[in-house]
Amino acid sequence: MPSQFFGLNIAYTGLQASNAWLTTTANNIANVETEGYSRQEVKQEAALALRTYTSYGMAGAGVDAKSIEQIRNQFYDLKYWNSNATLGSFEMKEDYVKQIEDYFTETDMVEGFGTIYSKMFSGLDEVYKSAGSASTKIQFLYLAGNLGEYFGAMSNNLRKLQEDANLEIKNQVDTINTLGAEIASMNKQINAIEINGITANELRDKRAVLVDKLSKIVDVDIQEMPIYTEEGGTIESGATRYIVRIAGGQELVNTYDYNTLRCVAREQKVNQSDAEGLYDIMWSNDLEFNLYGRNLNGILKGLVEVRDGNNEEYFHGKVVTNSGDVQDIKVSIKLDENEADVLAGNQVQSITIGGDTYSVENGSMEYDAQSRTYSFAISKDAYSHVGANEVSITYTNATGTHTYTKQDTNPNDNNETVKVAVGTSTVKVSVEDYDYLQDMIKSTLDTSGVITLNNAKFVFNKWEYDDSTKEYTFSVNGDATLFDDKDGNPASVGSSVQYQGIPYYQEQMNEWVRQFAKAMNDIETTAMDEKGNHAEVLFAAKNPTDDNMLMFKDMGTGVDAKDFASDKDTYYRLTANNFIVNENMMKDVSKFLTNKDPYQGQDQQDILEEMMTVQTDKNKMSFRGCSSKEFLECVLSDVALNSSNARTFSKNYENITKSIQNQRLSVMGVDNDEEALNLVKFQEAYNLSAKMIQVFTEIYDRLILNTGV
Amino acid sequence: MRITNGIINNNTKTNILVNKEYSDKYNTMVATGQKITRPSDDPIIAIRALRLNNNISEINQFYDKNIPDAEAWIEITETALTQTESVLSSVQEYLTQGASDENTAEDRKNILENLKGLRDQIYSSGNADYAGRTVFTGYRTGESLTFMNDENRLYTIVQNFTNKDLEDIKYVKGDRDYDPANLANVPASYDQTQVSYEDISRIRLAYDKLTADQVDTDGNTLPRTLTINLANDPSGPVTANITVQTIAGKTKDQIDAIYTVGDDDVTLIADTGELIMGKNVANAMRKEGSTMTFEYAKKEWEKNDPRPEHYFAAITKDNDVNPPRTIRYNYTEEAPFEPAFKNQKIQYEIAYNQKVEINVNAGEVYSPYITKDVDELLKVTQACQDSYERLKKLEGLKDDDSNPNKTTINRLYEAALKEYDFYKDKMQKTFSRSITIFKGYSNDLNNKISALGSLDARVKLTKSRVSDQLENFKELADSNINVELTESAIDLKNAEVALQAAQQAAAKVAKTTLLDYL
Repeated sequence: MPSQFFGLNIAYTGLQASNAWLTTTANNIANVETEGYSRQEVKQEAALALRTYTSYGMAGAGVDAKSIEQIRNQFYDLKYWNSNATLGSFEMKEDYVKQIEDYFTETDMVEGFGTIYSKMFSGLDEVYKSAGSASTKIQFLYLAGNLGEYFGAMSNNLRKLQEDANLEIKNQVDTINTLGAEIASMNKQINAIEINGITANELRDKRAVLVDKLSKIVDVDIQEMPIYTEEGGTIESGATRYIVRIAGGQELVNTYDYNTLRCVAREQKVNQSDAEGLYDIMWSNDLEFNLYGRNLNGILKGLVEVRDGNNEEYFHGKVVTNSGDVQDIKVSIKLDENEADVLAGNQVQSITIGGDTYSVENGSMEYDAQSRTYSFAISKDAYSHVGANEVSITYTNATGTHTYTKQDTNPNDNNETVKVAVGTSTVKVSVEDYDYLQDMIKSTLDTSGVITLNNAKFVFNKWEYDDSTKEYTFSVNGDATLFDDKDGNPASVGSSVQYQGIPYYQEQMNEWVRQFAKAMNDIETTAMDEKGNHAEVLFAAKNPTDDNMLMFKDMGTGVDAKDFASDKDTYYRLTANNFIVNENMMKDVSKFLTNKDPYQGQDQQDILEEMMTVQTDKNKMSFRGCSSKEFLECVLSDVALNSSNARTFSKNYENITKSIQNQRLSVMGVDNDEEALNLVKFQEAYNLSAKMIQVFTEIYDRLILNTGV
Repeated sequence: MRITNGIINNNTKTNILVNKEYSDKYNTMVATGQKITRPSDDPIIAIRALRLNNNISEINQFYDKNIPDAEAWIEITETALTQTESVLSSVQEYLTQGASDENTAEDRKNILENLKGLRDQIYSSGNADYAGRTVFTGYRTGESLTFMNDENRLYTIVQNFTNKDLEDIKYVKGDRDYDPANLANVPASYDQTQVSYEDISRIRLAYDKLTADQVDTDGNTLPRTLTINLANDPSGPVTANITVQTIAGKTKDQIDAIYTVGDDDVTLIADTGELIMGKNVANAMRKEGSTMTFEYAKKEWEKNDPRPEHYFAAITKDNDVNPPRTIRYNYTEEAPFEPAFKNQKIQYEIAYNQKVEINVNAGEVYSPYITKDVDELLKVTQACQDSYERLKKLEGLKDDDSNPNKTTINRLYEAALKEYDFYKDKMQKTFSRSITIFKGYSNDLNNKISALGSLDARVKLTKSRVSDQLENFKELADSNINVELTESAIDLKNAEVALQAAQQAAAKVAKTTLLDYL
């Protein structure tokens, strides 16, 4: 038979359990509006019964409140994070494409392409009707100038938008860094608590909120696994490893450690019309953060696609085997800290390396005062000496000819006091599989950039294209020959981004502008003045660097001329941003000629008639299979469809995310009525337990004071 | 599924927002009257709107600008042609008068004066302009039809002829230039037997007063052979040598000799611009379908002379620029040395793919021969008049028996009588031929005027068609983008009702909890 006092004890456990429930209910009610809070429940079970060795067997020992646990379903968390990432990506796109759409849209208030274009051709029609009048010509040229301004403004707007997206990428990267650090610190706190066998409910909720936030910016993959008390053991220590991977499996947080990202402004553009200094993202350990992976998602994906979306048209091809050719060798010498500068102001004649003497190429000597480094370019014949540690420099001054010898005494340290390396080299890339890379009108390559050859990056500063072999020749800094010896070596500039982002629209505008200028110029230049000179071009490009006007003088037989080079004066140099009407014509309208034979009379309409046909004749100009006037239809339908897609998808994913969130809430959410019921229920239970104690008190009273006395 | 307050709150929030979105959408529709506010709302409508607006602005260009311009141009042309027509009919009236036998010398003088006056008027209406652009000069709207001042510039002109251009005319041979009061220089042997009425064949060039040397702008002598291409003649073209002559300052004797041409020869009389053809040459030219091309040089231009570039292929040299430039008018572009005169047609596009030729070229209505025709009349009338006056003087002397030269005078009188008869005949023939010629000019002009009338009617027709099109497109554009107001007003009302219902429901759900009943 159990102790006479056992009943009191049992009643006490009931009181305790009810109390735990009541406080938990209070906590749930208090947190009913707390973001990310998951409702808690008391886990209780019947206490171990006592063996009483009586006929009725075991005596129940009351209740045991084991723990307070949160109710949460990790499966829904996972689904929420995935859907949230996609939502983030589409929301971002919707926002940006809407702005692009605004730029392209014509309203009654804002003149767009269509109005400006048709005004220009109405102007041309007026010239057509009275070609002799200077005033109609002036009017036409101004209207044509408006077209140039329109494209300039559009290009600038898009560039600014690209800068905005770029800046936002940086902000989001900063947020990722902050969230990574917070999650790592949260891991530490949770483990400190949970190693004692207690669940850190509130902290876990907080961590989940952080991951919720992170999941909108970038796709997340969470892995949580128990830590065992010993390596390979089976006893869980209570602590867990918590790993956060982002952007397709790149590790951001590993339990207490976290990586950070940083933005590095590009020195070379990927696309010709890109804004300056767009960011590449690197891990703090200098490994590349892959922005263009197929698995990237979230706001970051939306931003990257808007900023860099090229509709999968980017420069890539195969390096032609053994096509690399070293152009010159660069020798640099770093003066020691206290070494006298004997070369200062002297004429350097030649450099001797390993017994061979090479003359220094004219004007190639450079001096960098900060690092006290001289550099010279010498003939490529010195290729065999690349990596040499000792050079002798012959120079002359007033006192005669001298030799200065410098040796790298410690070649293995990073301080390269003597360096002999390849200066520049060329490499050929075949693009025969890609039609769009064979048409210079569609080219988006900048004159300089970064080319990736078999995963090695090289800066190029000039390129040429030969249409007969379908090969590009890049002049790169450094030795490209080391990377061209394997057949089928990949070469690329930039990456494929499967979205019609800002670079795509810039390319479309450039393509149209180039085609249009060429079509009109080809007609205008057949006109002749009374002295027998052909007319100048009607449309020209303003060179952004020196403000000179480019009039496509190196065109030769056309844009596909065999000897195309990035620095020549061709339509490649024309972009939407520098598209203007020939300034000479603006200054002197008589230079805008309208006859092939001026003695046939001023009103002969041959040139003008041909120009009018550029509007609709696809043989004269075909843009994406449409006529020149249909530019806006083509481009605006791209924008409108993208925008409408982004809106539809962002709405869809908003709904999906909401419904997942509801599912999560269905499990973890606090329900007022439920808690009210609990409140009543456990208050009742508490009251009963208290009554029990009162009953036992009366029993003891009876037993101790009144029984047998 | 466990539904918590949070879920209910979320869902009601979503529902209210959706309803608000609809309200906003229809509200915007009603307020703006347009189905879409941005292209992505409905890309198809947006792109269609672009196309329709494009069409409208194009048609506007036709309707507001091209068609009125064409109409104005046609009107100017019509006015000018009507004026010319009235001048030509006056000329014809005088011609009819002149052709009559009954005219006195006084009458003839009158007719002469009137014709002179009308001659200068003919081309002046050809210089008509529309907004500073001459309308009859093809593409050369900056140039007048005629020379506005006397000018010295060497042109070589290439003119084409057909068998219809060959004229068979009479020539009075033997008329001597002498003063009846002073018979000293009259050839002793001159009598009526030397006066004859010859048939000659000639082709008139469009211009007279040509250069005597007939060299081109580079100083090279122009070809002195004439080639007549016969239609369907296997024996090949007929060629003849050309002699260039001038008659200014020459005696009638010498002139008679010049007008007498060998059967196989051709003489170019530079000052009158006539090609006198020998019998055989003329016979070849007379054949149906014969053509020839002749190149000649002219330097002295008088005010009101039509500029050759409006009629013919011509070459001149611009000496005002350095180095001087050779200008080739109406030579083909492809083969720059092939003369290829053709009418220059200015076209206006007045509707989709509908172009009209709005201009009339000078060559179609103002023959370059009009003044020459009048000049010839003047000349032949003058000759007749002179001959008549001489005859009258001789008649006076003849009856004076005291005159010692009575025999000579009688001899001369007989000759003069014969001369006068021939001249009178020639004059009447010329007048009656001129009547035909000028009737032809008038007919050409009237044909053109009525053609212009029908062109004008066509333009007017197109105008009303284009106006219809414009309305159609405007209607299409309107129905494409504009909302049916009743429909969207009802939609808006519905959305409002739904929103209110959602709000009411939300208010109820959110307010009650279990605690209310415990």
